[in-house]
Amino acid sequence: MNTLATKKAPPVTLPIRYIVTGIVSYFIAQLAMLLWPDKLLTGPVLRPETISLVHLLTLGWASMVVIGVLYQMIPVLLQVDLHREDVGRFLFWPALIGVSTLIVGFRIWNTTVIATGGTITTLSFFAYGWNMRGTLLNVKAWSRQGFAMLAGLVFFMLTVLWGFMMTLTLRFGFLGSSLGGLLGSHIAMGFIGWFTLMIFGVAYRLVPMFALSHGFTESRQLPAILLLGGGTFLFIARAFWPGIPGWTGATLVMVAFLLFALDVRTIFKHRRRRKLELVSRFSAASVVAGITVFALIWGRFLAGQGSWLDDERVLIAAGYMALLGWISLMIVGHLYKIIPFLAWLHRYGDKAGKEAVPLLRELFNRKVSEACFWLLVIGTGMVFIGILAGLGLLTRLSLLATLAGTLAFAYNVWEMVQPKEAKN
Amino acid sequence: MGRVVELDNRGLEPPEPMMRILDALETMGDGDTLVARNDRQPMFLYPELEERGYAHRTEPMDGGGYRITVWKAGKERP
Ligand code: HEM
Repeated sequence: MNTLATKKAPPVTLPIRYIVTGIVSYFIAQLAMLLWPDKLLTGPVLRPETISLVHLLTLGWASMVVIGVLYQMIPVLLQVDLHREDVGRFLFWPALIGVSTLIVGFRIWNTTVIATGGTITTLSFFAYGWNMRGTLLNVKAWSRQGFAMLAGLVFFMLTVLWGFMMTLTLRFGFLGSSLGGLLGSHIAMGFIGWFTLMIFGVAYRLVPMFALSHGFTESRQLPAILLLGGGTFLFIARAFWPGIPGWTGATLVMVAFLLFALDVRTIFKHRRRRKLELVSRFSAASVVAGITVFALIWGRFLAGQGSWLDDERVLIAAGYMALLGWISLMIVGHLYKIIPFLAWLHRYGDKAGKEAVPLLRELFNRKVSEACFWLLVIGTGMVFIGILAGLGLLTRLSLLATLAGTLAFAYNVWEMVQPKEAKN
Repeated sequence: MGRVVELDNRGLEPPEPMMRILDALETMGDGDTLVARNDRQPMFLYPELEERGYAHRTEPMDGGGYRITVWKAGKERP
């Protein structure tokens, strides 16, 4: 038998449908910010348009892509077979319907639509969690990275549960006035517990794999993972015991992130691949964005209420940088490696090793990917500065640049999935 | 016929098996063959091998794991 098709990697179509949904959401979100910058980027933060945009990015884009990528990566990284792949295939549809309904509900601010979308979303994500549980129960050797991914998934479930309780509160008011306490921990669980911890777990495996790096110290990984989880936990605990000061969780999270950033740097230093690939450059930009965000959060909790860091503008700039810098740049970079890899395996896996097949980097246009990188990275940084400094024109122009970068990305994704001839 | 280099990667966690294979290839001559034993298929290795101009073959072994044979493309098939 000479085929690379293996039981331990699911067929391409399962991850791809989640990933394509994600990219469409990402594009719509960029477009919306460009069309309504005043509504979306000047506050107040809790308005229908912003809440809708936030969930388009967190659920439609980031969560969808992470779910799709995990279907592909968990078998590879944790060395197990997927439990029920058919269930994963089916669950895509209720997730899509639920998330779209929720986002529309937030936008038109109709609490019945919000509660309906929230319920479908919650049920389909819980079913996803249950299905993942089946896969994870078969993992034989738990690594640090696997543990981070597991904790990330648990926080995902909690984020969804909290969101669900808030949607029901909005519709039926059963929690009375306690939405405020729920909201803070909902954001901490989603942003830090789900996305950031998951990125730690996946990146600690993939960054060395893609940079071809080994022999670096791994001693900081577990502390970073535990501190990040502990920090998230403190933020959740604050919802129940408001006496816990915010700077406690924020400090743990800040230290965790600095350890992670140091680790990424060390991994790059020990790399074999001479030229840093696109995925590594995007990761580096993403980590810089992450440091900025976590430093702002930390500073805000240290300085307390009433400081300039508590200003709504700073809050929006940090939120923008969190979602479109730290999380999005990390995802876009990894998709530049993962989608070609999936497409390559799907089309050429059987021929690889026996006859000439196209190389991974020949699956997309390099000029376009370079343009994509600079437009997204510089554009995102400039939007951040524009929001922070209240410069409307700069913000608009930079939003245009990021939209162009997103288009370049979408074009290259299209290229990646087209059949190609081998050049050699 | 060149040398045959054997590599036992069982019990190692990714990306270590893949890194060891790439490292070993750098020390080998054009006519040499690498035979590696892995617990799993090193999926991300295959595109790297293509990039470096190697032909390869993966076979499941009795009792679990895979045997991956790598040689310079265009050379005699081991
Ligand atoms: C899993 C990733 C998620 C993340 C990262 C996330 C993040 C957020 C953020 C940042 C906000 C504040 C929005 C703003 O300030 O404009 C928020 C609010 C909210 N989220 Fe989520 N969310 C997630 C999932 C969900 C889900 C699945 C639901 C519903 C089932 C949900 C329901 C809500 C509700 C009802 C609000 C508050 C609306 C209000 O205060 O009136 N969220 N979320």
